[in-house]
Amino acid sequence: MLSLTEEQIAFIEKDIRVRGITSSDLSIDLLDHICCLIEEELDEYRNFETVYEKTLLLFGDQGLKEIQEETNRLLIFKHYYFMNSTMKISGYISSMMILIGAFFKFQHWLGANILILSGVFFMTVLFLPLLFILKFKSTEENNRSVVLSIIGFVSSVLISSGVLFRVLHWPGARMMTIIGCVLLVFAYLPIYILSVYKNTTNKINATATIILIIAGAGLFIVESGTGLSKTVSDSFWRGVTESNDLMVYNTKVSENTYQVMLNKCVNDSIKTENIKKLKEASDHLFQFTSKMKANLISITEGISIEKAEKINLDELRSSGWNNILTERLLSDEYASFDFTAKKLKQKIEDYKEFVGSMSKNADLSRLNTNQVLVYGEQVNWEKSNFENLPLPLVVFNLIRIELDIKSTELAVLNQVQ
Amino acid sequence: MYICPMYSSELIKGTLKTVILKLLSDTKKMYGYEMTQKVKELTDSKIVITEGALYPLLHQLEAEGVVTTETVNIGKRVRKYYTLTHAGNERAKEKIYEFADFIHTMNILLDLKPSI
Repeated sequence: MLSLTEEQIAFIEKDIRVRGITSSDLSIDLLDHICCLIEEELDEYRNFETVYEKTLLLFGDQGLKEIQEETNRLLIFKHYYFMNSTMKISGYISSMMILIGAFFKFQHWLGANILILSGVFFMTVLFLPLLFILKFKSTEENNRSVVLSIIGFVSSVLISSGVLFRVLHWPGARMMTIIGCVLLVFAYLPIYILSVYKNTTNKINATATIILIIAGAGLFIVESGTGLSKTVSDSFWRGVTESNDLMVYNTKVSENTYQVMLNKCVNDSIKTENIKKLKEASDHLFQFTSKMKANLISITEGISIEKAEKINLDELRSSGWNNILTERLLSDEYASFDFTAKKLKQKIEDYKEFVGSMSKNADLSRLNTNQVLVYGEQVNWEKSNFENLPLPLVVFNLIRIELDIKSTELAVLNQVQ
Repeated sequence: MYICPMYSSELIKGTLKTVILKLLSDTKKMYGYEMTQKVKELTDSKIVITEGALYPLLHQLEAEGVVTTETVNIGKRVRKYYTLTHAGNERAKEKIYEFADFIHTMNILLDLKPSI
């Protein structure tokens, strides 16, 4: 038995790297092992090259590379368990969060949005990618399954991010959901059906899955398409925005007129007093409607009142198309709520009475709170403005009322005696 | 994965880990080649461990924290010695016990006459 020289060892080290051993950790093991094998065989009669080639034959043609691949596979397998449990836990947690969040939202409890948001977030960034990676690993031999899991991954991420975007009122939410669903039905489903009907086991299961996919995707598309057609909703929103702008404009004009009137009547203390009183009364009513608006937005959207006060009207577009406000505004159960329709009506009546006492010729027709004819039926003012209306319409009606207050104020300011 | 002239591979599959753990719990510190030689010697060449089975397993055990390694300079090259960790010792006991129990069960199942 002879020891190998430094050059020979260096030669082997380089050679096994060429043969595919890139991991330095593994290369230490194998270098020593091969050296031991060679030293066992080496004597005065056999030269190094012959023995080395004979030793390599023991490993087979791709032998060294296969050792490294096997090592990597085993090491990944260890991660597999970790990933598997992380996937399961994140799946349970995110679905529970979404369920509880939905329940909270239904009950109008605080924290509903944050729950749904984190649920969908975890699902999108943790559960779905892990599911995809694990599925991808377990089906590496089958091309169709790989394509299937890629499409499944992309469409499920699109759908869940669509939901996430929707909750956050980010743009593109609807498009994402629709593309995700279309991908699911027109790409995932055909490949899935093909692969299932080649493989006859579990046909009932597969049929159930197919029906669920079609029904689920259909519901998602219908859901994201409900509400109004784009043209109708666009023109509605133009109306809302314009009313809002007009209301803001009238507020400014009224403010200016108030200052002008005050300056004009510097010498008439009674008139000044009356103008101030009028201004105070309209401000009181106006502030009430503004607060009412913020409160209703905060309840429906599950955001704080401060945020609701500053919300951009456009953000309400994609949300709040449900009737949860009717109860709050009209039912006796919520009579203690500060901003019921009845209380608003009372405030308007009080204001009208006050204005009437200030100016006999005041035109109060804009603040009419009488019954209205709706589809041939007499409906009281509260119902006609608030019953079964979604948040955007309720907000729109409140903006209109604010506009009417300002218009009345402006008209009456000029008539104050 | 073993080269085993005597036994079919499905019989041998799954026993390598137990064998390695047993070797390491008997001899505290071993390197790869030494393990293959030891098994060859103990089994009279009936079982020969190949490199392709041994090293991936050793690396897996290291990643699981069952064994630790230390490198020692041997002449002009480096040799990596494997030692059981505390958890590894426990694992070795479990594995050996499990296998002994398995053999006992197989004895009953296959109705083997106890060899005298």
